[in-house]
Amino acid sequence: MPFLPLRRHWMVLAAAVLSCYLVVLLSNAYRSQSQLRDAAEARLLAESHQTAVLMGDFLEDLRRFAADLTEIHEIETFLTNRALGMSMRYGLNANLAALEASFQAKLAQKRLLGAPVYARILYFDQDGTLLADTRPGAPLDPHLAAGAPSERLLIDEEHGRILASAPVMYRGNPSGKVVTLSRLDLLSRYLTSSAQELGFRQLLVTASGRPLNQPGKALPDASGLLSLTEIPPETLVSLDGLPALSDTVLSEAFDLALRVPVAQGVLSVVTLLPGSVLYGHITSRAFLYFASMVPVILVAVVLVIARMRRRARRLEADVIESNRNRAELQGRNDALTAEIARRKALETRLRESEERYRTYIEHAPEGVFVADSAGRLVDVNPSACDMVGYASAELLGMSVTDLAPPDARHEHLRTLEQVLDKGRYELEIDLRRKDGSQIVGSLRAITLPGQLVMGFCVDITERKRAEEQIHSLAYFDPLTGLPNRRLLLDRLSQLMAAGSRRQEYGALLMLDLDHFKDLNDTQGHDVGDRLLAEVARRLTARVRADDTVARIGGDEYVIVAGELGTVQAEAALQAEQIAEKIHRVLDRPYALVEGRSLHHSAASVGVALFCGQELSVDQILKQADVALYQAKNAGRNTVRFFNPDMQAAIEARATLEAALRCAIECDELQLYYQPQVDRYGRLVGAEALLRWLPPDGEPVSPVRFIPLAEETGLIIPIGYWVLEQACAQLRLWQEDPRMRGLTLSVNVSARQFHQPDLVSQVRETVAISGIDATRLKLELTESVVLDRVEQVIARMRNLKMLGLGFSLDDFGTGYSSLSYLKRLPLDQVKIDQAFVRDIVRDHNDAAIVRAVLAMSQSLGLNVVAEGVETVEQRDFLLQHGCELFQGYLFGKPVPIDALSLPQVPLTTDGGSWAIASCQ
Amino acid sequence: MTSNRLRSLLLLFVPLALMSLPLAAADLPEIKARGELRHLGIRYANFVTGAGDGFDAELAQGFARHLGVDYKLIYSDFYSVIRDLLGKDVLRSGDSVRLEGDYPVKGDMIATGFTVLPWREQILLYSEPTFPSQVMLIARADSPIQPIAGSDDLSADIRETKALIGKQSLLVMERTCLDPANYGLKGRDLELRAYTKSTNINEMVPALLQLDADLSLLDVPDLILDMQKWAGAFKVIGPISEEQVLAAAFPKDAPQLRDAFNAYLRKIKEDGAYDRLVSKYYPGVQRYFPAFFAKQD
Repeated sequence: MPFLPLRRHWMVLAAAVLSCYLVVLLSNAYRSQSQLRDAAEARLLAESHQTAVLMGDFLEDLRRFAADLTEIHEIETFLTNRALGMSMRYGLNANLAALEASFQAKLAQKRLLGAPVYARILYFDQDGTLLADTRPGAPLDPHLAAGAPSERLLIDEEHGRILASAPVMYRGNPSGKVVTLSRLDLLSRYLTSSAQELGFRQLLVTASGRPLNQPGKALPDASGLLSLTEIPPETLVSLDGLPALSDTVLSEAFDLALRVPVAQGVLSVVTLLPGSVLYGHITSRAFLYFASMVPVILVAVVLVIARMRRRARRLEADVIESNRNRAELQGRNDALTAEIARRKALETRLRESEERYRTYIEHAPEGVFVADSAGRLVDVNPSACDMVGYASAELLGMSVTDLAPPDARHEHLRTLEQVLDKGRYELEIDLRRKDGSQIVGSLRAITLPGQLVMGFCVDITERKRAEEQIHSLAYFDPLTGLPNRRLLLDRLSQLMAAGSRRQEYGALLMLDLDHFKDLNDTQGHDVGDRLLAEVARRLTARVRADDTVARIGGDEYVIVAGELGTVQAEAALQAEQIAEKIHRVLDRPYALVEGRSLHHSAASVGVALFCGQELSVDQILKQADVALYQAKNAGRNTVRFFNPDMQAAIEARATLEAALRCAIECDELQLYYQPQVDRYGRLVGAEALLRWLPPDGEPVSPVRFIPLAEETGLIIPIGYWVLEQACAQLRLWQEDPRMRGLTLSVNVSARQFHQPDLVSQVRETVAISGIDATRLKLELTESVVLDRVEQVIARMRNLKMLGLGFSLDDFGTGYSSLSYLKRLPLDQVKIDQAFVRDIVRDHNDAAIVRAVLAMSQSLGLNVVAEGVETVEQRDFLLQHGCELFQGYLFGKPVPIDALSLPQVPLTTDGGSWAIASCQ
Repeated sequence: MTSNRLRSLLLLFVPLALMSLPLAAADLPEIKARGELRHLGIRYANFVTGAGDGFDAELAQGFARHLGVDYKLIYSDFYSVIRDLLGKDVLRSGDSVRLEGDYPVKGDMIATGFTVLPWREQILLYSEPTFPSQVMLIARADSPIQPIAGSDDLSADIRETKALIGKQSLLVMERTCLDPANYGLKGRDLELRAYTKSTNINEMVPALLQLDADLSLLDVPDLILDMQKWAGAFKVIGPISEEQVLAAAFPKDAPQLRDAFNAYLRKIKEDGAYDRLVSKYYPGVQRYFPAFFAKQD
C-alpha cells in the first residue's frame, strides 16, 4: 500500500506545504512591508517637503507683496504731490490718508486659511520717517524703531513677526520703504494637522530651535526642542539615535523625526511621529521575524498533533474493539435470551400444538392407527375404533395383521414395510371388523419418529361399492350381464396388443339373431329380452374363459377369441369352429314363455380375423359387420368370413355414396321423361325417370345409385326433389293448352312413402306449384304397398283427396296379394317389362299378361304396359285389351326438351296426336 | 345747474387747488403722519453721488429707517436747496438774510455736505456736525505759486495763503461753501471768477485745469477725492478758511425733526455705523481732521 504512509502523514505534509506557503507569504509580506515603509517615508518626506515649499512660497509672497505695495497708485500720488511741494498738513495728509486706506484694504484682502496675513503695513520715507501706518499710534516693532529694516525678509522670533520690506522708487530715486508685518505663527497653519490625537506632531522650528505652533495649540515641552535643529535635513531619523532627544518627553511619545528646512534654513518643519502612525498597520519587522518562525512551529505542532492523533487513533481503535467485543457479547447474550424465549415459546406452542393435534386426532373423522415397526398398535383414535368395531383397549393389544382378512395378512405386513421403507404410502386396504365383516379403507400412512407408523384410514366401502356399480353400468350390459361395446373395445385393444407381441391371430365374431324383430313385434319386448339373456348365457357358456362375449346393441353380439395361433388358416379354422359351436348352441330351442311353444332362433355370423394391431379396432369391427351383412344376404343362419372383395365392394359403395351426395348438391341429377301413349299412339302422358349425369363422366345407371340412395336415406331428399321437378314441369304443361291433358307419373320409393310427413310434403309441393293434381300420378312398387299396408292405404287415401292418382309399378314381379290389391286405392297398374319382353314367345308371360289385363279390367284399373319395344308386343297387348303403352317403341326416356310434344291440344278422349317415333 | 352738479364740481376742483398750493415744511409728527422723509440732496463729492448713494444719502436713509418712515431723495442744487426746504427764496445782503417769495417745499431736510455757515444759521436749524471741512486754495501744478510750508498756527497759515493770491485770478462758487464772501475774499481787490457753469462743486478742479482761473477754492472733502483723481495736476497751496463743519439742515419750525436726527446721529456714532460711513466714502479724512474725529471718540 504505497499510499498508506501518505494518508497516515497527511497532516505533516499539509503542514509542510502550508509552511512553505507561509514562508513565501512572509517573504512577500517582508518585501511588501519594506516597500510600504519606503513609500510611507517617501510620502512623509514629500508631505513635509510640500509643507516647507508652501511656507517658502508664503514668505516669498510676503516679499513680493511688499514690493507690489511700493507701486500702488496712492504712493505714487503722494510722491507726486510731495514733489509739487504740497505741505504735509494741508495736502499730503490727504494722500497719506488715502494711502493708509489702501493699506487697510490690502490688510483685509490678504488672508491665509481664514486668518489675515498682514498685521500691519507701514510706509517709511527715505529718512525713516513713518508716513503711513495701518495701525497709527500703535507701538512699532523694535526692528522698525530706526526705520525700515534693511533685510527684505526678517524673522522676528522674539515678537513672532515676519517683516517684509521693499524700497519705494520715485522717478529713479529712493523714496522710502514699504514694510509689512505678519505674524510668524501664520506659517504653522501650513503644518499638517498636528492634532495630538492623530498621534504625530509637526512643528515649525526657527533657526535657533524655537518651535512655532498654531494659534491655540499648546507648544510641546520646550525642553530638548532646541536640539531639533540638529536633525539632519530631509532625513527620517529615530529619536533614539539623537542623544539630545532620547531622554526627553518627546522620545516617549514619538519614535521618528524628520526635519525639512524652509526658506534657506531660516525655519524648519519638524515632524515627530511614532512608527505606528507612519507605517500604519504595517506589520512590524519583529512580527515578521516571529511570523517566519510560525511555519517551523506549525510543523512541530503538526508533528506533535499527528503523533497524538496516532495515539488517539490507536486508543480509539482499542475502544472500538472493546465496544465491538462488548456489543458482540451483548448481541450473543441477547440472541441467547431470544433463543431461550423462542424455545420456551416453541415449547409452549409445541405443547399447545400437541394438544391441538391430539384434539384433532381425537375428533378426526378418519381412523388414526399408530403402530410400531413390528406392527403392534400403540395408539388409535375413536374413529379408528368405530371403523373396526373394537374398543381402544382391545386395539392397543393387537397387531395390524389382526385387522386383516385371512388372505390379506401378508399384504398388511408388506404395507407396513413399504411405509417404513418409503416414509409415506397410500393404498386401499381391506380390513376385517370385529364382527367379521370386511370393509375397504383408504389408507394414507406416514412414518413418525421412533420407528412408528401412523395411518389415516377412511372407510370407503360404500364408495367402492358405488364405483363397482358405476363400472358395471359403464362396461356391462345390464340385461345380459355381458360386456358392452365399451368394454368390448377395451378388451379387443388389449388382445390386439398382446397378439401383436406374439404375432398371434385372433377372431372377432359378430352375430345377429335372425328375425329377432319379428319376435319382439309379435311376442313383446320382455320375451325378446329373455331371448337375448338366454343367448348371452349360452354364448358365455360355450366360449373359452379368456374369450369375451359382448352385446353391442339390439340383437347383435360379438365374441372375441384370442390365441388362435400364428397361422392364418389355422386361425380361420378355429374361428369357424367357434362359429359352428355358436350356431349349434343357438339353434337349440328356447323356452321363453312358460306354457308356450319353444322358440326357434338362428343367427347370422360374420367373422373377421386379425393379427396384432395391423388393423384398427374400428376396421376389425367393420370387417365383421361386412361379413355379417354378407351372411344375412346369403340367406341368414349362416357364417361368412370377411375377405378383401367385400372390402372393395364396401369402399366402392362408399365412394358412390359420396359422389351421389355431391351430385345432389351439384344438380347432377336430372329428370328424363318417357312418353306413355294410348292405343292410337297418342301421347297421354309420361313417366319421370331419374338420371345421374356427371358432367365429366358416363351417366350412372339408376340400378346402381337408386338402391344406394334407398340404403343411405338419400332417396328421401331425392324423392322430394323429383316431386318438385315433376310438379314444375306439369305446371308448364298445364299452362299450355296443347299439353294440358298430359299425365305425369312419378316413382315413389318405399322409404319415402313411409316418411311421416309424406302427405304434408306432397300437399305443400302441389300447392306451391299450383298444378291440377289429377294429372299427377304416383307410382308405387309392391314392396311399398305390402309393408305396413294399412298405413299405406291410409296415406294413399289422404293423397287421393288432393286429386292425384296411384299406379302400381312392376305389377306381377312380387308377391302381391290380390286381397291387398283390392283394398288399395289404385288407379293404374303397370305390367312389368319382364312379362312384356317375351310376351310373344313365352306362353306363361302371355298368360300372366292376359290375366293381369283381365283382373285390371274387372277392378276398373287402367293398365300400362312397360317395356313395349316391338309392334308385335303392342299388337298383342292391344289385342288383349291394353290401352296404354310405354317403351322404346314409343320413345326412350329423354330430357324434356327432347320429348316430342303434341302440336295440337289434346282432347279428353285422347286426341289425334301420335308419337312420331312410333310411326 | 342743480345743486348736485355744483357739489360734484367742488369735489373735483378743491383737491386740485390744494395740490397747487406750496406745501409748508413739516416737523416730525407730520412726517411720521405722512410716512415719508423727503431728503433734499445736491450732487457733491461723495456726500450725494447722484447714483442714489453717498455719505449723506445713507445718513438720511438710516434716519428715515430710524423714524420708521419711507425715504425719498429729492435732488436740488446749492442755489435752490434752501428754497426747496423752506419754500422761500434767500436774499443776502451783507450779513443779513431775508426770505422772500413762496415756493414749493420739496423736502424735509438738507443733508448734502452742507456747511454750517452763520448766515445759513439764521434761517435754518442745523443738526450736530456730521462731517468736517475746510476750504483750501489750490493751483495747477505748473503754477509758480508754491504751497506754504504750514505751521501750527492756522490763522497765520490762512493769512499766508491768502497773501499768495495776489493778482492771480481765483475761481469761486457763490452761495456755496466756496463763496468768497464766506472767507473775506470779497472787496480785497482780488480777481474773483465765479464758476457758474454748474452748481456742482466737483467741477472746480476741472475748471481750474481748464484754465478758467489761476487759482481756485476747494473744500477738503472734494480735495481728498480730487488729489487722487488728478494727482500731480494741481497742488494745494494752503488753507483759506478755518476748519468748518458740515451738518444736516432743517426748517426752523422743525425742531423735533432736527432733535430726532441728532439722536439718530449720536446713536450711529455710538454703534460705529457712522465711522463705517466715513471710511466708506472718505477714507483717510480722519487723518486730515484728527481733531474732529477725535471728538467723536
